[in-house]
Amino acid sequence: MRLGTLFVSCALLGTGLVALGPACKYDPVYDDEVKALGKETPGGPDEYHRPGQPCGLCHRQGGVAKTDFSISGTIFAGLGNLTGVNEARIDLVDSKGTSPPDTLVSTNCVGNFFVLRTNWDPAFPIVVRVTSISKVSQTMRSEIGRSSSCGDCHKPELPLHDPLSTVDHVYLFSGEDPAGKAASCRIDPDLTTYYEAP
Amino acid sequence: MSRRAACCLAFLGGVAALAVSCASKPDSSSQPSLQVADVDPAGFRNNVEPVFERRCASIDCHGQASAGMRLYSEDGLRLPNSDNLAAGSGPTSVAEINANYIALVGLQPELVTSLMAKPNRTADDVRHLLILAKPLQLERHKGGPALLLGEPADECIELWLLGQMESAQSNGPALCATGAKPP
Repeated sequence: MRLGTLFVSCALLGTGLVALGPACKYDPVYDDEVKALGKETPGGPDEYHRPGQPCGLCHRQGGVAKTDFSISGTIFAGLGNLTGVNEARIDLVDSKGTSPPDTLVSTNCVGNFFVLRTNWDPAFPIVVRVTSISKVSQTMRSEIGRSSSCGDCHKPELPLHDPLSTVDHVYLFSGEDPAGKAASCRIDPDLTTYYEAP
Repeated sequence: MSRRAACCLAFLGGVAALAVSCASKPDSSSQPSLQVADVDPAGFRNNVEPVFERRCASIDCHGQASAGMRLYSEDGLRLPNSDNLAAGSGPTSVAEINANYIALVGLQPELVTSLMAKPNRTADDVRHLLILAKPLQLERHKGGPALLLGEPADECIELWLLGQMESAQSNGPALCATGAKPP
């Protein structure tokens, strides 16, 4: 084999290997976690999809979603009421005293909210308070130590599958949202059926 | 006997010896034990434990079953119980406080024991322990800086490890109460 041919062959092989590297991001543990989230919300993915699920599992650097969230989650009406709260304000302060720059992070009609990491990359731990448009407010008793998703610890399961290591979904009222559910939303904010579905 | 046959025989003998040793009954009469010096258990229970609960034991940090150093708390992970204590409901039980003490003191048992034997230990000495070095980021800590040097929570833990929690000038219980305050 001539030296030139050998050089070209090696270069092609090297390029192939470099291209193969990023394509082979095989992580069975991560893949199983994503798979366990179940079927996509009809019409999704969009900002209304998968309410109550751990958003940051996909929306993170290297995750399967295109966007990277530094904090995200879903606010529900009550402990026994899986209706998403519309226009709840989320106040966040990190350990350096910073907050998302637009200061007003609020939920959409299904109760979902998110902060893009490009807008705010917090230094954990974070403290959080949620306030409804009717001025009902709840401050989280503990700090958020590391997680970027409410859904990592807060589970919308009734009853909880594991009450020793998970807590109930994030909820704002003792019963129903006085403002009622959003009148117009791409998916029904009453998510009871969504969580009862197999 | 040929060399080959001798080799085979020796190999089979080795396998047989291994099988016998693996199949033998475990010695259940000996209980391995590790003596760890007391680190002011009363001071921990009364003052320091709530600081660890507040600053380290959230469900997404040391309050998860998979954590190397597992901490139980009222708002986080619960020890299996028959009192219907669940994450976020019911005060931290005595069993949970004791489990937290064992988790913290038992993280580096030999080092803790030698440190407690040292008569005039200093703040620098106690900061070498992982339970302070990690949250202060003197060692790599996955959760980032959980304590700031000199803040009440840090001083509370240092006083406990120095054995000065109850000394008149230390103001230990007040520092611990401040360090354990909710956000």
